[in-house]
Amino acid sequence: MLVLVADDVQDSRQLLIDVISSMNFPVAAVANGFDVLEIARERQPDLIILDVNMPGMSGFEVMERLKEDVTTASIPVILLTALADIESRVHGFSLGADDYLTKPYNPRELMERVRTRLRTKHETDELRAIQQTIRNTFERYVAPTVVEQLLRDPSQVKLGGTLQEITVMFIDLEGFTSLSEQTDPEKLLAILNTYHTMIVNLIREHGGTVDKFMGDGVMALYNTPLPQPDHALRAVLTARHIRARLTEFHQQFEPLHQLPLNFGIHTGMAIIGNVGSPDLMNFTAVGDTVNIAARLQGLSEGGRILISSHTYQRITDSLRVRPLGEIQVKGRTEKVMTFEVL
Amino acid sequence: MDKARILIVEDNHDNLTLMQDVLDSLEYAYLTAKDGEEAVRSARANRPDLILMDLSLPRMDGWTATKQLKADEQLAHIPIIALTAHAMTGDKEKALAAGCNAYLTKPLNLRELAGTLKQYLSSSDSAT
Repeated sequence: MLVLVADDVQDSRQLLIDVISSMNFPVAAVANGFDVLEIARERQPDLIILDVNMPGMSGFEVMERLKEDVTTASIPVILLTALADIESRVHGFSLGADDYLTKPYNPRELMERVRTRLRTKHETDELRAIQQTIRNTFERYVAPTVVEQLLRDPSQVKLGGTLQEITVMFIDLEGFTSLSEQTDPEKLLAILNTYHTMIVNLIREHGGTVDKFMGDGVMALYNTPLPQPDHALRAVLTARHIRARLTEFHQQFEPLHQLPLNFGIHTGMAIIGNVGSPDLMNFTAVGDTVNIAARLQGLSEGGRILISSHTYQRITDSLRVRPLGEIQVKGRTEKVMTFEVL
Repeated sequence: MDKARILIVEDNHDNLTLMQDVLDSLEYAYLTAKDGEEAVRSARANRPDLILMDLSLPRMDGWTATKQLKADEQLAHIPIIALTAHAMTGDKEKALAAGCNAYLTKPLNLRELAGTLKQYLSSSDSAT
């Protein structure tokens, strides 16, 4: 925290120092515009109180230069001057001043204005930090429209962890692992990335979050980070869309590389949030729900979409399915009723 | 029985994709139009069983297109479901005033879309 004050008249400068110090804020004082620019760049003060009438470089010119430099452009400025006329006040604001005080000023009024500016600056800085975190966390995983919605209302994001219902989808390329023995690694990776690009685009189009890639597999989440009342249906429609697209998509590859995609989808409670160590974190879901979706995908073969009864209950009437019976999932006592999406 | 045919009027790619997926899953057939003028032309030529009408469209907006369709006695019976932006208060009222039979708000709830389609298409089946 630092407040920078600039006034060429010794007594006026001392008064500013006294007022700011009485508020228990660290203060730096300078007597001309050149020093303002230098200290602003080097020490990044939280507020500048700037006298307009200074020899050499006027306060207006200092303002202009501060705003031209990206490293100083966002520092709030309160202009101080003996000029009481409306024209110079308007001029000051047009250059980007945040506030204006006419000399002689009441020290208590100055204190209130300083307090307001610093509070606003603090809030702006906090909001920027939150927005940066949201960008870093989600930009690669969700559609740009979702990032925009999150930035507009950051309160919707709970990175600390929350228990909520989600739909998890696992997609995997059948037979990819065995291909790795017969195909040049560079070519194989290019093929894999072509599949993943198609899959990722369609997940995002359907409002899903691409959670992670696991080798040739993809894990996607729905109903997070933004709530989606139709999350189960969105996941199943994503899978159907990818499946319908596949024949045409395969045309670019030789038959050996035309792989079926297997899907597993389950809906249930999971813990959502940033998982990892402080310097290496990932927004993801953990819990049994994730394991069941992965298990369903493991049971799927020949390009089938397998969903659990929990997912089916949330999409009833929306599409045709075939019951497959109950499956046992490792680590769970009760069995999971399974359906194939037609 | 012939598949029900639906005209989707929507200029946004992602929304169009989602609606097509829902219609595919319900095994309805569909046509698409990207603006109000195209919607009116297509409705006259193809006589769909139902129209999903986005309201904010280029060239001719959804309200104007709906009014024209409802003023045409050959087409007035076709149910029109309006798609309104969630944030725009007043859109729903304007949609109903223009003659839309129902409205859905965006972002679309796809289950709600499926339910509304079933409701309107089964009632028109039983009427014939």
